[in-house]
Amino acid sequence: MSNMEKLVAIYREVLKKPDLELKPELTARDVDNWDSLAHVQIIVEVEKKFGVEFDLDDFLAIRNVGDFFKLLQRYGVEL
Amino acid sequence: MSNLKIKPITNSDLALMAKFLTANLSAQFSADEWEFAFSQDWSSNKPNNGFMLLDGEQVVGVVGAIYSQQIVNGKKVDVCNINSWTVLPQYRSDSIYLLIKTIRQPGFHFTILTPRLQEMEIYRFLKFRTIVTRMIVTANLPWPFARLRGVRTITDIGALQQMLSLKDARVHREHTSSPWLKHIAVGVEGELCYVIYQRVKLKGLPTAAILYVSDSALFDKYRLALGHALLGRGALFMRLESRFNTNKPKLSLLQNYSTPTLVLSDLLKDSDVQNIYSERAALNLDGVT
Repeated sequence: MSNMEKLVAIYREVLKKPDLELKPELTARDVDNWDSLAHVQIIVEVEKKFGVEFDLDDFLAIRNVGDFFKLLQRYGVEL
Repeated sequence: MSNLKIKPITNSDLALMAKFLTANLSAQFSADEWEFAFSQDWSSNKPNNGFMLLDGEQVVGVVGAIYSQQIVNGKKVDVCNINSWTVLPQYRSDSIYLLIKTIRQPGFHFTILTPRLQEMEIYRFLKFRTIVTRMIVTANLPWPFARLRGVRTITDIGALQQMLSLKDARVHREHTSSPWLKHIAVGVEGELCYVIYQRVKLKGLPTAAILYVSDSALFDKYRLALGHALLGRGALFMRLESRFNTNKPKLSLLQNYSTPTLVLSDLLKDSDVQNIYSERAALNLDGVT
């Protein structure tokens, strides 16, 4: 499974959307169930799966899925 | 967040906030009661009453903050008690920014005393520590030896002000404006245990929910006298958090579940976290389900 596939699986599982397509411009506002708790769950799952730890400023900088991709790449995760 | 903004809740916003909480968090408290809860004068360093999320001019979410200056290990400490986090469903993807805005205020130690269980993951993510505490419930029994042993019970406001330590006299003064809070001291001269409690119902039975204990050791020592005094005031049981009291008395029940207490502080120990500077004291919880 590629890193991108792992990432998509996390989003789909947390948001309970098995068909969710991850596009860079996607925001929490675009998806039902994507509340602050889901946001945190995604971050925590990604931290576990990819062995990284974000700080609060990273979290605040995420406005859409594309921002999150960039953040992960900054932490050395190849997508 | 593009069309939304977060704004500190000033004193002039309190009525708006209170109305929002009555409508969206708990109608068991009127807007006046909510407003009173956040109008406490427990800190000269109070920067706001929390933060609100606005969509245009409309309030769509709030997080309440009750500030206090407490004496911990002889030093004045600024504490922010976070509560009443409420956001309309369609704005919940942005609700965490209210919390982050609150805990980013420098110089404060943060507590949350009534978290919802489903939010715990968010608080853990924000590095809050969970305090493991349970409720100890004890029956208040007659104990006629109090007088023989010279143990006094003091409830008179003037007498309490004269006899309590400087720290406890201040705690007392800060809580006299809430008529649902009851104040009592038991012990002998120079060795008084000061207690603040609220009358609540436990399985329908009148119970004294202890909110503040000035000294755990003295509380243990004078527990029977206190139970006797509380029984005389109509409370069949007393309920106390285990973190306030090292000894679980015989014939007491340990409740399996209690709401977790959360702390974000490198200074406050479990026993330093006070209920009396929070919504637990600022709202009348008697009869609230």
